[in-house]
Parts: sequence; C-alpha cells; structure tokens
Amino acid sequence: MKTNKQTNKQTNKQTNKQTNNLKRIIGCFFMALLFGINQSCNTEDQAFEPQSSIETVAKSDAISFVRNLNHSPKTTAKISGEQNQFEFDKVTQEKLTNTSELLTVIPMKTKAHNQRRRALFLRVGTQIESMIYHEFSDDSFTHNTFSGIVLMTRLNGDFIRAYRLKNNEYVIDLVPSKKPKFGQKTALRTNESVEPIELDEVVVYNRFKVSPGFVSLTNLANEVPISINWDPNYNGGGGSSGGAIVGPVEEKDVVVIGPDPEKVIDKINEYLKCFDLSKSAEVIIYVDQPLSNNSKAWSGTDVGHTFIAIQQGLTRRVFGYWPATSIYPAPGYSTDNMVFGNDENHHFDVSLSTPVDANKLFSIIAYASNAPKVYDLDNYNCTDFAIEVGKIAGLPLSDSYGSWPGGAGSNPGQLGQDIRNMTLPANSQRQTTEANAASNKGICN
Amino acid sequence: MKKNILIILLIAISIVVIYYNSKRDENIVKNFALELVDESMPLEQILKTKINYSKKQKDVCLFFLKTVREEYNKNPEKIVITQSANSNVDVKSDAVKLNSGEHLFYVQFNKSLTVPFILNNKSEIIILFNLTKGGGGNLNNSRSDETMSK
Repeated sequence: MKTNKQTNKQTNKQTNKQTNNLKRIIGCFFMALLFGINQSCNTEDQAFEPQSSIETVAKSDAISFVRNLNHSPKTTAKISGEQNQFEFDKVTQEKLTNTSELLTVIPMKTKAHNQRRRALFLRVGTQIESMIYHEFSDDSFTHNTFSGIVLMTRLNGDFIRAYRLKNNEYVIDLVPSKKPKFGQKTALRTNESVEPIELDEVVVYNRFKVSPGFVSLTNLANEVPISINWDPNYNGGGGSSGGAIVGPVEEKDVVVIGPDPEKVIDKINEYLKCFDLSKSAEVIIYVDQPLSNNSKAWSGTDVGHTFIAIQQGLTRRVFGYWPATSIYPAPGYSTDNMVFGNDENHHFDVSLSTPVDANKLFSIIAYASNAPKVYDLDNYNCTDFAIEVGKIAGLPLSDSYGSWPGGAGSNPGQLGQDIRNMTLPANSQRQTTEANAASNKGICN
Repeated sequence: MKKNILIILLIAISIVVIYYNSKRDENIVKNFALELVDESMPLEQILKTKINYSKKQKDVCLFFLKTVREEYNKNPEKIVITQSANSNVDVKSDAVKLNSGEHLFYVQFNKSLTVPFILNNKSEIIILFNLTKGGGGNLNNSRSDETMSK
C-alpha cells in the first residue's frame, strides 16, 4: 500500500514536472509568436518589447472567442466541425515564465491515444492571439522525455510550425507536404495518428553553430532555427497573418553563398516572405546590357543580365534568374538547372519601375516560386523571367529577341534598347543612366 | 668608348629581341585567325595543329570554331589582334585563368565579333569559353584544355 502511494506520488511528481515544462514551452511559443508578430517586414527599426503588451485572457473571453469564430464567414467551415472538440468545462489558466500574466488553456478532445491538443490564448495588445498546440508522441514517449511531433496551428487549422523532437531534443523542422492542402478535413487525421498532417522535412541552412546537445524546451524559441516555409501555392490563410513567422531567424540563414552566381538564393519563398501580400508594392526591372545603350546580345564575352527588385515600404529584395552551374551557347551546354541569385548592387544600364497592387504582387511572387526549373539560354533565360514578371506587373514589354554566335533568344541588349524606346505606361518610371542596383533591405524573420 | 658602344648595342639587340618575340606571339595568333576564317582550311586540321584542347572539349571546340567562321563570313573585315592590355573588350582579369607563360589576346574578326584567346608558352592557342553576365557573375569561364563542367 505504502509502495503504491510512493509510486503514485512519484508519478504525480513526474506529471507535474512535465506540466511545468509544458507551461514554459507554451510561454516561450507565445513569446515567439508575439516576436513574430512584432517583427513585421517593415518594422525593422522598431524596438521590441514583447512583454509589455501581453495580458491574460479571461476564461469567459477565451470561450466566447472560440464560439464567436463559428460566426465568422472565413472560419465557419473549418471551425464548426471542431466546436464540439473544445472542452470548455475544463478551461484553465497556467503560469508563464518571465511574466505574471496567465495563459488560458482550453483542452481539446482527441481520439488517438498518442495525441494531445490544447487551444492556447493570450491577449497581445488589443487582440486575442490563439493557437492549437498538438503533440503527437512516438511510442518511446515517457513522462520525462518527449519523442514525437509538435505541431502548432491557428484555430482555423492554418499551419504555424511543426518540428520533430527525440528525447526532448530538436531533430528537424517539418513543413506541410504540398500535395494535400493543410486545413482541409482530409489533412487532419484524429484517429490513431502517426503523423498529424502530411509533413515533409525541411533543411534549414545555418551559418551559426547549433549545439548538438539537449535543446532546452524552455528556450526552444531562441535555440532552434525557426522558419515557416511560406508558399504562395499553399493555402496559408492569406493576408498578413497567412505568412506567419515565428521566432528569430537571421536572414543570412536562408541565403547560401554559392560559386555562381556569387549569392545563390536557396529558397525563393524564404527570400520573398517579407512582403505583405495584402499591400501594394513596386517592381523594378533592371537591365545590364553587354554594351551600354546597344542592342548587341553579347560583347564577345558578356551577354549581360536582366534582374528584378520588389520594394514594399522599407523592404526590398533584388534577385535574378541564373543557371545553377555554367552554360555556353553550344549544343549540350546551353541549358542547366536554374537558381535564383541575389543581385543586389548588380550593375545596370537601364531600369523600369512600376507600382503593383496586392493581387499583382501575389501573382509575381507565385510566378517566381514556380519559375521554370531549367535555365535555357535560347528559350528561357534571365531576360525571359524578367519580361514575364514585367508583364504580370502590367508593363508592355516585348520579347526583345536577338541572336548571338551559337544561339538566339530574349536578351538584355535588346531589352535595354526596347525599354529606352518604349512609351511608358502611367505611373512607371525609367532610368537610363547606368548605376548599381540598390541593396536588399528589411529583416523580417 | 668601345665599352659604351657595346652597352648601347646590347640594349638595342634586347629591344629588337623583345619586339620580335612579342610580334611573334601576335603573328601566331594572327596566322591562326586567318586560317580560321579561311573556308578552304578544314576546321579539324586547325583544331589539331593550333589548339590545345582536351578530348572531351573536342566537339565544343569545333562548334566554337565553326560559329566564329560563320559569324565572320556574315561581315568580313580586316582582322585586328590586340593584347589584353590594349583591348577595348572588358574581360575581367579574375574571370580568365592565365597560367605562367600564357598571354591573353583579343581577335577582332569584325565590329560585332571580338573573341579572347590564350597563347601558351608552347605557342598553342587555348580557346576561352568565357561568358560573363554583366557586372557580376560568370556563366562560363572554362578553357579548351580543361573539361567544361557538364
């Protein structure tokens, strides 16, 4: 009897320890969420004071918040089926680290024995921020260590972040598989869950050393490189909240320095995720002609380059379409896999800029994300890419076709001359004095 | 007096030798260029006798020579040879790999076709598959005596 009591006491102690751990995790993630919200693309110079605006959400307010979602046209379809999953009678408030405010927690029912779900609420500024925190444990789960998948979603099912842990140690970030769209009923499997949604592993490039040892869950938001893979094709909710960014990632983490071009952009989605797709922007086409103010497609050694920039408020990204290794205008050498290159500060002879509304901005970023995977010197090169972007932006650009020894196609020499001679659309601006393109600007992670 | 004359004579001979050597290099390149645009000369023969090339580069070398010949014949002009320092064509020095004893020449076949070549210390021509992308980045910087990365 005494032994049983001791065992129970020990088990309770372990459970309490785990609960305390969880509270710290939750606290950290809300801090991270808040950090992500505060670190919007165009607020790079603003001071960050996360704790100043956190407030406890009253239990009744949290319940009302969930129930009111039922009436929101945007979320009805996704939330209504989940309404009866919330255990409103078991709502609790739990302590957070580094703040006296409380986290309001509404447990959620699950059918799977290895799944645990809770809706979490905090007031950030004047708004209630919420998320569902899913844990999908492996068989090796114990009271002291967790192995499995942690998934964070918004209440409507939109993905925030997922990652795998093994014995409390961070293993790898996960992103929704592109095949099934997250948020659809088929994607969420509540029965005997092995994996919550179709997830793919994502490799995050780091230039800083990550400690291979134990990653403290308390400080997870600080230690694990966090990046949400924004994908315009992926139904992430849209608007400013659709491209949610949680946690601190330095911009350099997603840009890999390669040999050619000098700065290869590893993931164009990451490179462009700073932009608020609900707002307008400016698109600039830059043309570096082989010979300035000349339509020649090559100078004997130089074929020039065409690249683009997108600017929105204090955020700017400059990039172009490049072959991954090398090409040459000879049979068997004129095609290669493509990469995007960071073309900030690249020389140009002519530029053309035009404002684009939110829809066009979305289309341009979607086009870049799905650009042809093969760089073909004759049929789809850097100039073709820029021309297509320009067309989406509403610029009446021609094909700018010309030939060079060993091939022919759209080229910077001809495009530069075409831009010099074209009639400008309203609100567009042209620069015909050579200069260097501007630098990238804005840190949004 | 005799000593002074001897010194002046040595200097003059040195200048002549240097000049001759530089002209000799230029003449080698010029002869190669003239043979290249001469339709009666088989390109295979030019390749074998004048060019230093790797086996894997044979096809692309022949394609290059054929293309240059065709481009020249579209607009035949007087061929002008210049060494890299005197050329108007801007090939970035870091884009061209010159080994010891090699010299960079530009051959202006006509107004729209100026191509760089390397002459090595064995008087062999090395074709440069140099292709830059404006003010930053190379599309190709391989040589005929090396294997292109494909």
